[in-house]
Amino acid sequence: MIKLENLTKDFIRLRALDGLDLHVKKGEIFGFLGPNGAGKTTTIRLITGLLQPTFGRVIIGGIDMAERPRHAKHQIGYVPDHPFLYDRLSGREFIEFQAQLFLLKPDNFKPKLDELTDTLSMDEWLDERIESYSRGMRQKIVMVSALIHDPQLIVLDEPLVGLDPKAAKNVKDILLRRSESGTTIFFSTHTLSLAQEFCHNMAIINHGRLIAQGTYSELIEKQDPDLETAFLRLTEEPSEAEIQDGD
Amino acid sequence: MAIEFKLLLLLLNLKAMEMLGNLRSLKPSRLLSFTVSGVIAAVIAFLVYRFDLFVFSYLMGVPELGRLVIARFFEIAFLVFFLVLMISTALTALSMLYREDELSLLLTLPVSSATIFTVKYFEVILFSSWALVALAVPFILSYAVYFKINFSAYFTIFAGLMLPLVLISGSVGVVGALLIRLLLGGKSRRWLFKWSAIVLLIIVLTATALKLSGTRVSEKGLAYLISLLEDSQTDQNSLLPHKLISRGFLSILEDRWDQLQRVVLTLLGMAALVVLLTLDLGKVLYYRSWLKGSDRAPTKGRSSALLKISFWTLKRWISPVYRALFRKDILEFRRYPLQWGQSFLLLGFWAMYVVNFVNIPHYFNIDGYFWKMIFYYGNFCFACFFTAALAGRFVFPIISLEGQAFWLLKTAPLAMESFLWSKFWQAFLPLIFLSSSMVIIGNLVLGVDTGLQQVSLLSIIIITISLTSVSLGLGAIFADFSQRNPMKIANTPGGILCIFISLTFVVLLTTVFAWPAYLHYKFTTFQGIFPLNEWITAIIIYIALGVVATLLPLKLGLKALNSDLKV
Repeated sequence: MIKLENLTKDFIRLRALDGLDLHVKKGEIFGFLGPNGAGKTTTIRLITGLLQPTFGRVIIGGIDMAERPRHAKHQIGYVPDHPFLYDRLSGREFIEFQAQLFLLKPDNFKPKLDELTDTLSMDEWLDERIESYSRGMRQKIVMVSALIHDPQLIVLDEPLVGLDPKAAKNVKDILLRRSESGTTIFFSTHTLSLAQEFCHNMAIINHGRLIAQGTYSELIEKQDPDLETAFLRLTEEPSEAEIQDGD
Repeated sequence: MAIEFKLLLLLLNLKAMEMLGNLRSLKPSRLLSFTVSGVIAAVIAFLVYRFDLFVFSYLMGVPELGRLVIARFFEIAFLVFFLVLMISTALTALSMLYREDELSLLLTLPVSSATIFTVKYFEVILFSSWALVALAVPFILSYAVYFKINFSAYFTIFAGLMLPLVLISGSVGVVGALLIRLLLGGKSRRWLFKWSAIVLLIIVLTATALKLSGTRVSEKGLAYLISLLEDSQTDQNSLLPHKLISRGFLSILEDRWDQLQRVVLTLLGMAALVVLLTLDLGKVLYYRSWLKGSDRAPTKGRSSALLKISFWTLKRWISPVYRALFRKDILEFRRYPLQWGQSFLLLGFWAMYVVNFVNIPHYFNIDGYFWKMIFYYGNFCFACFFTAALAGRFVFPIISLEGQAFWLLKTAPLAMESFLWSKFWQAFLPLIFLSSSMVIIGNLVLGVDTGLQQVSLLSIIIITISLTSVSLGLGAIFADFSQRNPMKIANTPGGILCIFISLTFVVLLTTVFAWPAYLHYKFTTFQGIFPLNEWITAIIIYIALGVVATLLPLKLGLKALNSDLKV
């Protein structure tokens, strides 16, 4: 569903991604891990078309993002880490706006909207303006907007931040159900327990490079009791002495 | 007191660091575009400077009248400066003084609200005035150079005349904002909308119904005009700031240093008094006025029946994507009172102009062809400049106003062309209504013949399309999605560049427009063969300039929108 080929992104005086190759299969729940500043958000922004690669290609469902961006974007639902929204619209107006951008007709999306808002317990808030929403409520409304057009790929940047335990559980259930019905879930997180519990497959990047990829059991070695230990081992910076030894 | 003063300095230092930090964090690509804009703005400022030199030199060459016109011109220019700055400060203050995210932090610190107000007062004055002062610089320099005033007078002009004017008009604006928030902060949007419309209607009706007096200029001739201008100079004791400052400028010209000294001291004294009074008033009202606007319950987001009917009607005419974008923007506009304030002001200016123009036949004998052509051309030029100013103020910020939620449009299957065109139509329709109505009403009042009516209408349509494109294109190139205040967006270097380019374009096109208008006047007055070829050439040049000014900015703007998201 997602194919990243030699994906490289340069900013001024910084190479944020350095030749990343990644393949995520249809229906897979894929965790994207890495320390702060590793290039996770840049990768996600490249996948969703917010940034353009310096080199390399992003292919979504067989469609090259650079060549046919609109067709590629039709397949994606995106939940960013900071949900900036149109604050003066109500939640309902915001979802309707999003649905219309994806060319959905009211008959198609209204039942889905009712179902999703009911699952995330936000019906009472739907007609309030977004400016009065809490962080969690904003996260929920973005989640609904990302799911309303039944995307083939859901991309989430830190999806559970700000959600109360019940809402977090509901979101996980929704994503699991979607995955079972063939939707690909790609998400970045710092919550390693979530990745361990939830992902079919995961990748770890550091300094813009892929350093490990595989299932949970493939990533941990014998001496690692859990994913956290494996993650710390894989992303550990070598000390100066080690660098000199290597030289 | 000493602690409060230290805290004040600390907060001022914080603000200065914030501004410096913003400058330092400019990315090289952005720095380059700012540098290029700076160079272009400097070139345009130089051209304006040369033009002002030409105007001064021309007016000084007109016996009797020239000097009087310059004096009158100063008064009017500084009155406009005063009023624009006052209004712009009031609107800036309404958002900057009450910035929720910042205040909710500052008010929890052990700092008095008076100290916070003092810091914010200076911030508001700085932000609302720098662009206007920058626009005045070429004018002041041309004046200083033409009349060969000595170098020390430059300091007097900026520190003794301009600074007090900025402080006085800015303080009045800030006090206005405090009172508006205090009196209207708790009111609903519906209430505000209704009463703003009623007040505007009353102003327009009163202006229309005012009994006209005075004599037609053409009946008394030039002597009457000179006496009229001289009469307006007699009020030497007026303490109105715009009169004081124009008296200051004329004192430099006439080498009357004693009078200049009096004017500067009066202005500085007035400025100090007004600033102190404003700060004292802020001490009492600031916190109260903030509470007044903050204790409202969250508002429901309901669409009005009118809006629903309008969109139902539009359903068959425009595509769902355009409909969605229009609806979103209209809803956002309806729920953003700061923008209405600006729109009401704009409608007020428009109405006052139209009312004044309708009264022209009372003062001038427009049956004669000369005055008719003068007003025909003058009205067209004014409509163009008015449209350029509006485009710079209202159209330039509309892309930036998408704000940090722009990610949503970038990740949606939406072509940026569609987005840009939807913004184009949203901006163009109100602009064309205002500009063409000025031209049409002007033509009807003057009773010009059908040919000239058609030329002016076609020209204003072309110029409005181009001005919309220039502002929209530059707005996309210099988009700042982190800024939420349209006034601040319009005052960025990109916004100032937009105003400069728009005004230069208007000067160019109105000059081209003058050609066929003059040919028509010559043909009607002196008869002979109608210069059809020259007419057609002028129209082709006009259209070609319009097409370039429309397509180029839109193309560059689209390229900027298609590049990486700058949020």
